[in-house]
Amino acid sequence: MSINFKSVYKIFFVVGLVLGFASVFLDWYYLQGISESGETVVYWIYSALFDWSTPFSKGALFNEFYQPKNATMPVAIVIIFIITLFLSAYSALFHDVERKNNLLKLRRFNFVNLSLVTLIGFFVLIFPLFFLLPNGLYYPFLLYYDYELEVTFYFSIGPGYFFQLISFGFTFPYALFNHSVINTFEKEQSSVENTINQYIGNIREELDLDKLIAREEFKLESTSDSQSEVPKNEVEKIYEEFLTARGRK
Amino acid sequence: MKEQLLDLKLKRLIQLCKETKNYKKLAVVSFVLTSNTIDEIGIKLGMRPREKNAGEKIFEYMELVNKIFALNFKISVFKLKVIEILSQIELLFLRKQGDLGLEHVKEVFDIYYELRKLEIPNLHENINSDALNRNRSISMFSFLSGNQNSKSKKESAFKPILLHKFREEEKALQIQLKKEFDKEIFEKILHLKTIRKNIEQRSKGKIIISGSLKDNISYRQSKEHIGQFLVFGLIILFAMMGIVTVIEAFMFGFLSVVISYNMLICFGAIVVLYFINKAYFGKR
Repeated sequence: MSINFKSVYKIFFVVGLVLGFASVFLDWYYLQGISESGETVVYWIYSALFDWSTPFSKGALFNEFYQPKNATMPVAIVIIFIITLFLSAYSALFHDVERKNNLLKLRRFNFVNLSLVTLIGFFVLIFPLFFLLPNGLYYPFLLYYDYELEVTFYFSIGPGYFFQLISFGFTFPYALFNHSVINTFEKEQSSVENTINQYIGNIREELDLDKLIAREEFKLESTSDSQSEVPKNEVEKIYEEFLTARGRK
Repeated sequence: MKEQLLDLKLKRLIQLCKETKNYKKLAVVSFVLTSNTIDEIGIKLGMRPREKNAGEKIFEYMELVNKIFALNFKISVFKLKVIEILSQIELLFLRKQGDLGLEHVKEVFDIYYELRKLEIPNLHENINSDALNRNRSISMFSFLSGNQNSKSKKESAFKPILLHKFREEEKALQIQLKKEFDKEIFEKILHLKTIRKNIEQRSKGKIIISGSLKDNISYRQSKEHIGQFLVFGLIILFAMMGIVTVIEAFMFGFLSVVISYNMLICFGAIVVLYFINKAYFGKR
């Protein structure tokens, strides 16, 4: 039994999109400090959409001392990510590459899908490199005991970032599959024969024979009283001769 | 069916015009029909349309078609006698502003039906299966099936042989055509020329499909290779995580021992995935 990779990838892609969407509302990073007495003295949570937050009130100086500075990703990128995600979901659900005439439409969506994968890649790679590590926030997990402060620090990525990792793995194959199909195959723009016939039709001089016949009939009827009628058999004879001379009879 | 209906209407119009002695109307109709037929023939043969606005006459266009085809295929599409008669009547028609005698009208209709008898091959039509079968000695689609990158070199090596073969066949057919005009041979020459030009101009290297993608044999074959996209995705994912870990190790030297486990997992996974890819997709 052979696996239909395309269908599997599509399911993965949709799951990846769902996880990617859920990730922006979940926590991406945890920084927690617990004192020897077991009391939480530092607690910071990062969410891509809601920035760094803490359950402590403003007066907790020790907690505020450990507030990560300049460790926030621009929200605009997150909003762009959400828009791209919806566009990708639309393309995946309503534009199957295998269906007729969808290849042209998918060419436009290919850019969106690749952008989505790049954005997820950006979150996976750039978030820890540019926002976590320069602020002394370790990646991916670290349990660290500070002997001077007698506080155990927990550094950990959250489910939001973890979902991003899974989302990358899930969206990458389908996006690449679409990209490879679009780059390998090209839909015949339109039937050449149809185009030519259409063109011939455009340059053809209009000839309404019905109208010409009707006018001629009218003319004949209006003058029928004054003119002697040409015997029908004679007209038939002339036309027969006409056809015979042209080799059509 | 369309032509039959046209003939019936024309028959009726001829009857009526004869009765009313309105030969001018018949002359105009005969010229419009001839003009349309000539335009159709020219376009089907890949010519530019007749420049009616610039005053290009029907017989002049016919002469042009003949000239071009004589140069390319050493054949004349329209009989010289037909062009000669039409040129005389057309000039008369233009000078007298359509007032032609019945004899001249008859002659124009005669030419119109002569032209309709011509079986002109459509130069723009796609190659038919019959033509393909006749060229079966050359596997035309061998370069169209899957794995474009690896086959591109083979393709470029194959191209000159293919072109040479086409040129040879074209020449042989032209010699045959010189001896005796045959519609099928003429059509085949045109097809061969079209294919040859397509191959010569082929730069994008895309497979053109006319119907649904899922029915395309090349697509079906290429689908067997897409399994590795998942492996590629995972390799890139682990590589990104590995890069972050390596940089972290450089930034925080004291963490190197702890981080080494992460690095082992990330880069180990890349090596495993590489071998999986090689084992399952490398040989295809």
